Amino acid sequence: MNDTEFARRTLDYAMQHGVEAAEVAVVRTRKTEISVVNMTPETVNAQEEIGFGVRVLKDARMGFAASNRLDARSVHDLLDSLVSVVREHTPDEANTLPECSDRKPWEDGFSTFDEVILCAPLEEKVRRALFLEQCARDFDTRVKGASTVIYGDVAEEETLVNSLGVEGVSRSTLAYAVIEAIAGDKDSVETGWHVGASSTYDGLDIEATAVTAARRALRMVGSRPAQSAELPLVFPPEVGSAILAYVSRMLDADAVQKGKSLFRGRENAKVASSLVSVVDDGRLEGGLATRFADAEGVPTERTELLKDGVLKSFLHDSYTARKSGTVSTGNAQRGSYAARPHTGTTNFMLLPGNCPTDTLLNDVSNGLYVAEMQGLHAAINPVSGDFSIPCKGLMIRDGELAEPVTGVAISGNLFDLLQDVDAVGDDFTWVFSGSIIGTPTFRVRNVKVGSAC
Amino acid sequence: MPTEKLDPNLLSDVLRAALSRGADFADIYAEQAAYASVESDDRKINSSFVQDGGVGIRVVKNNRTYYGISASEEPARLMALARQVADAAGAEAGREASVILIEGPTNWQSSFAVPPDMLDVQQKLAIVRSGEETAWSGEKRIRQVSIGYRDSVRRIQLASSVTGTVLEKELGLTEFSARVFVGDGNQLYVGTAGRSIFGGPEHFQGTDSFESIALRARRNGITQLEADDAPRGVMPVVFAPGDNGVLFHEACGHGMEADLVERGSAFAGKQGELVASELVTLYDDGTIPCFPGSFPFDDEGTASQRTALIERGVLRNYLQSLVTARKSACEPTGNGRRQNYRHPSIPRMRNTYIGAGSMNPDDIIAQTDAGLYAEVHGSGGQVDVITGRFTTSVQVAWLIEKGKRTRPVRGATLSGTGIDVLKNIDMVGNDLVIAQMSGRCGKGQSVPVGVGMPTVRVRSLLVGGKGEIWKGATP
Repeated sequence: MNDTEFARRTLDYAMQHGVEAAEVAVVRTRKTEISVVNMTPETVNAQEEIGFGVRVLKDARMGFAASNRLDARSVHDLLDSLVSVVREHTPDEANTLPECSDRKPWEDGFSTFDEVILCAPLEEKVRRALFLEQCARDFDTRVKGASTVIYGDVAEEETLVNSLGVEGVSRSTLAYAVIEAIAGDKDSVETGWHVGASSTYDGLDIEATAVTAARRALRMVGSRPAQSAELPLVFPPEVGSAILAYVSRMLDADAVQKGKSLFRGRENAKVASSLVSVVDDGRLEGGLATRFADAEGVPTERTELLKDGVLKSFLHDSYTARKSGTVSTGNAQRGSYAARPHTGTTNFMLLPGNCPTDTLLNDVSNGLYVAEMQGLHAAINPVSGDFSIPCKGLMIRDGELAEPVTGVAISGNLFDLLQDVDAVGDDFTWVFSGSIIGTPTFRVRNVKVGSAC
Repeated sequence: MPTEKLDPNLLSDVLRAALSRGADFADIYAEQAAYASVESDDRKINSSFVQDGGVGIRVVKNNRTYYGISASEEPARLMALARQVADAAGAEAGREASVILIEGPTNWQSSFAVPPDMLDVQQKLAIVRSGEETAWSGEKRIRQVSIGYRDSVRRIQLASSVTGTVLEKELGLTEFSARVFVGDGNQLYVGTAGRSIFGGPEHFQGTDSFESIALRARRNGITQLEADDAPRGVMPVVFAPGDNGVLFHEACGHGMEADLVERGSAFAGKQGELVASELVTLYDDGTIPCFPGSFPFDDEGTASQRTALIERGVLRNYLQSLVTARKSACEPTGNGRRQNYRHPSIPRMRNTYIGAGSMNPDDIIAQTDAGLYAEVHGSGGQVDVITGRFTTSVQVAWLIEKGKRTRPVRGATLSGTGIDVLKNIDMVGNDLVIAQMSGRCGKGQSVPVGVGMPTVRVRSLLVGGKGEIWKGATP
């Protein structure tokens, strides 16, 4: 029985047991992950698995259950329990499953599924992981090694059917390399981090990933604390993308509707500098998060969220769309077979500006180039936007990157920061860190920088 | 959830196949797990449940780990997987490995009076409904309430060529958490609180009753709303006992995990050296009943223990798994843990805490002229183990002025390096609290842990806040 037949059969069983609508997603995942320590493979982990998640709708109540036991008896037991417990849920008129779109999402596009990821031999993948560390070590004699060296890849096939006519398969692949290089001399040891990612096996540039991490470690060697001051800050893509991830969470319609986002009630208000335009585009050609349908089978689309600093719309799935009387933007996401679909980003981006990135630096006589933020999840309040983030960086002196500094904390508020963006560069870059976020380098006028001295 | 166990004879055969291309050792980790949650969000209650089970086969050869999984327990599938992992591990020709597994002791007592998957869902619904009402009631500034009741049970069989036994254990967790969003005009803060207990709902009592947790989350939100922004600069910080131990989990514990020591952590090569104030003793303990980081034996069969990491300031032990212990020719400490059958075990903390000192906690505050009192920790933290730099945050803090706790401040972030913090500890209270912290520790895999500490003063620590630059002196 293939995945679609299994999904249909499971759906039929649910529909025969008194629910009004149902949805079955079957997720098949093949993964490889290899970690290396001191030029020796530490762990080689290759696995394939399959599981399914079911949503049922009855009397405006929605229920979810999931399992990786696919035999008929286990499936029936699971569905019987689900149909029984859903009666206890709170009815909510916004609960819904989408109907089949006229746009037939799975039929009108190309696939980003690279078979090479599945057939490349394991030994070759081990060599890729070793090469990753080797490239960092070879780059400069001051590179002492690496504390994290990982090659990994994932191939995922998600088969979705619902009782309203949605049926299709989304397929995607991802290859990634993660390295934290260690560089230093007898007085100072520093680390530099980078993640390289590609939707194809050959598209992953191992050497470039290693060199980027090595450079980031090297430039910090000899760093010292800075003076406390208010300074213009420059955020390169690898740092700015992490800030934007918090903006994306506040643009989630579910958070907005429930009063958990300060963007609530601010539609059409100017919430950021005119230089800030933010878009989520699930259909972007070649994007790492590109899928033609979301986790509910709704066609993905390009959604303008902030245009020239004005808040235009939010990220919707079918539930939030129905609640707001609008249509889904195709932003339902499913982390794994065991996760209930919820709103999330696809290819999320701050659009590039027209300021060449060199010029953006040249205009700063005294400022801080933020090279890395530490413990961001603890250092930023995802609700109020207040932040105080320990950082390392490079001082900017007379328009040039100068001495490295550590032990500094930048503090302020995310909403103020968005208003204070005063230059957006033209070096748009995608950053993979779980979510897929793209941004150019951008600059923010005076931010408080606190220090140990 | 199916409860059939795998036959020891089958496990012996599979283990022999895993060892057939030559290996240091091999093990089989068979798991059946059930996860359930009841959640209230936006005054609406929903539930969900997930069944997850499978078998992980590990072959360790020349200290390298080779790993594969199967969701199916069919003998043919397990034998094929074992051969596949063995092939990945070695080019050596096939040879006979002799393994005969015996059943290990089965007198481990379950922490659950009633296993979570047998609990009546009505009981959980009632707990969540009551938590929701408690959090909303009688306070106009509340904007939203999210209450979560989650439980899990994991039944594990571990067959190992190291012990020559098949061991069985039941792990699980009941977690209750509350998030209360509190707003006023254009301001919005969230207060959080939660507990994770290796045991059933009957353990949520006293200050950790469901009602107390919901009220605590609400109070943490309101206090933030009413607080001033935290100052920024270097100052003395007094930590309240209990959950604040997460600071030492981040700042010290990770750097003492042997796999990270091997990578050159800030604590590498320092065994026997003074790395902390002589007031500091740091333990990692997997034996405290009903704690999230407790278990009879770890996920590779080593009996759990209390391990002294630092004794009176001197670094004594690192946290070892079987593989790291073999590499450094020492004894494993029972810290080899896995998130589930999908992962091979690696060194992880269990319940990590600073031992009690001798001071009366009130005296610690009274003897601090000016500084910060960190009362309620924020959302976890992070460490770069190589440089030792860490970040943690404080949800609710207070200023200490002239030896008294005065005004609340919010948004304080604490950062520094682990060894600096340990050396700067100059007062340790006699009021040790070990906490059944909710929230997990992530290191590629996520596992439940406990943390703890008595009231402790750190003479000087970098506090990041949105407020004014700190003008006070440090002692």
